[in-house]
Amino acid sequence: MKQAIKINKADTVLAEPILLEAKDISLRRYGRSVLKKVSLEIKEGDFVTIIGPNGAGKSTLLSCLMGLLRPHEGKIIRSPKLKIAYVPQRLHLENSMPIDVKSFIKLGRNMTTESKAYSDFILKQTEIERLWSRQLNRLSFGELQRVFLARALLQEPNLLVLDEPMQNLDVSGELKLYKLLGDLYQQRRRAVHEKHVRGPLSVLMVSHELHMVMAVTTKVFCLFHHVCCSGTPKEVAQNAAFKEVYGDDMVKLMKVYSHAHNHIHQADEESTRA
Amino acid sequence: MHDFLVSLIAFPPFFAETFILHGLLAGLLVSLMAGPMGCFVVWRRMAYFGESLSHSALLGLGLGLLFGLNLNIAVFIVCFLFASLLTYLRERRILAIDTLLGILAHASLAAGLLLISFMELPAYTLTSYLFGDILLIQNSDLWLLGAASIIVLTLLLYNWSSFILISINKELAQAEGLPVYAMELLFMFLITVVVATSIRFVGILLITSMLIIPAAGARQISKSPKMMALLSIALSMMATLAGFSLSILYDLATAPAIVVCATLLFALLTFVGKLKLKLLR
Repeated sequence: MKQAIKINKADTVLAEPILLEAKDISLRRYGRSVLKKVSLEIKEGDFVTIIGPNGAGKSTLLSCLMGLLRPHEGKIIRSPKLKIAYVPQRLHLENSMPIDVKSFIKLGRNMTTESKAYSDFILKQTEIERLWSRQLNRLSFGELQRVFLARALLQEPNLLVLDEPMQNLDVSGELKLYKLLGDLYQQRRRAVHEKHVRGPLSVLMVSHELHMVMAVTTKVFCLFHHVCCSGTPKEVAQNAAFKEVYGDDMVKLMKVYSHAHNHIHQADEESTRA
Repeated sequence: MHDFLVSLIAFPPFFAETFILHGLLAGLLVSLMAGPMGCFVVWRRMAYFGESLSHSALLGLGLGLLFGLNLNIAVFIVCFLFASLLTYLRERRILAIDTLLGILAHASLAAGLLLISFMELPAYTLTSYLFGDILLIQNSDLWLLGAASIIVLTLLLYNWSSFILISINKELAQAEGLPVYAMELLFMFLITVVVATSIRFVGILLITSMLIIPAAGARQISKSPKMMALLSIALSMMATLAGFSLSILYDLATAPAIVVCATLLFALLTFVGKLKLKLLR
């Protein structure tokens, strides 16, 4: 029954512009299905958010997509030019190791940024220049998160993976981070033309914060062990399966937020129609 | 080489005896390995793990004595199996890690004690294994410690940044493509080498303190992982020299004297660290 997938070079040849694709992956843990025939694809330039209740298998799915866990069934296909950088869910640091931000960022072997312009750009965007010589374990959670984010981005990934980045942040912290992510995503698209980087940045994010997700996300996957529904935020909000998982109130909330940035009254119209 | 080292340290008159010199050299070699390894034990919150590992060494001794094996090899094999078993059980999440360690450590300690009590050895033998005995150190032990230090320091330096990243965030290290599982095994191997080769000198019950106390002291005034590792070696060597001298001058047990000296240094550095923070404010 166990059909371990192998990610070798033969599998990875892919037509552009799909960066990463999961085909019918299933995974069991302690005899229970965590993932059931999950399929999703991430194209170049996508901003994909996976939403779903606690214990829906979101983090497990991320681990499978990044190649940290092997699904029992199904296939993961990676584009040869895929380069992932990851911001983990738990950033908790022991006070036991003295290390400053600069050393931490430079640690490891993936630091391939050649372009000074790009690294300056990232450091400026994430506002960590002034944290540069601070000790890592003296940072606030929000600062720490920006440091991890900068470290990830300096690896010049074309896919940035974030696991619940809003966790443990207060509302203003959430807003800031979300704005930062949106800006980075947009600016890296623009930066392509300014020759800072090689390609656009795609983002794959797991989040609970539905209302925060709506502003930038291009594609939403609602996960509850299987993919309940997917599409643009608007499509998902109107989907019956989504309603089943989250209930009517959330559907209304989603509509308000997905339109809040242009016309609030339009959202009201839609919710009366629904 | 040996004669040179002997003449180098021989100038204080009470170090002139060969067995004392051997003991001192052994202590300095233990410090050289235990300093940086202890930092990792502190960074990765593995203090209790080190403790359990050294307890399992007694089972190794018991089995070695029972089957007439080379004791160093018996201890090394048992410790390594123990470390691997622990790593495996931790991944399987059968029980909370501290419960698991408690069970395995004390079970192997008890089994080791039982085995040794069958051997009808003179009482001092057991004590010398539990608390270390410089009289036990022979030429061959020094060579073994020297080789172990070279292996441990080389592998540690070669994999330094990977080990640091894994200590900071294992998930991140894995996502960035480090072979985390293999690195964990290598780490288990290194800590086993340190524990198995050092117990002759410091004893089963005190080896953990040689790992942790100097590292914890170094933490108080360090600004980078490298600085902490180097300071940890320095503190460990200072404690060894001081404890050793005291034990000879006042006829005290050597390893306990070293540990007490290390603890005093730790207390001093903690005070200095706090003072520095206050002055900076």
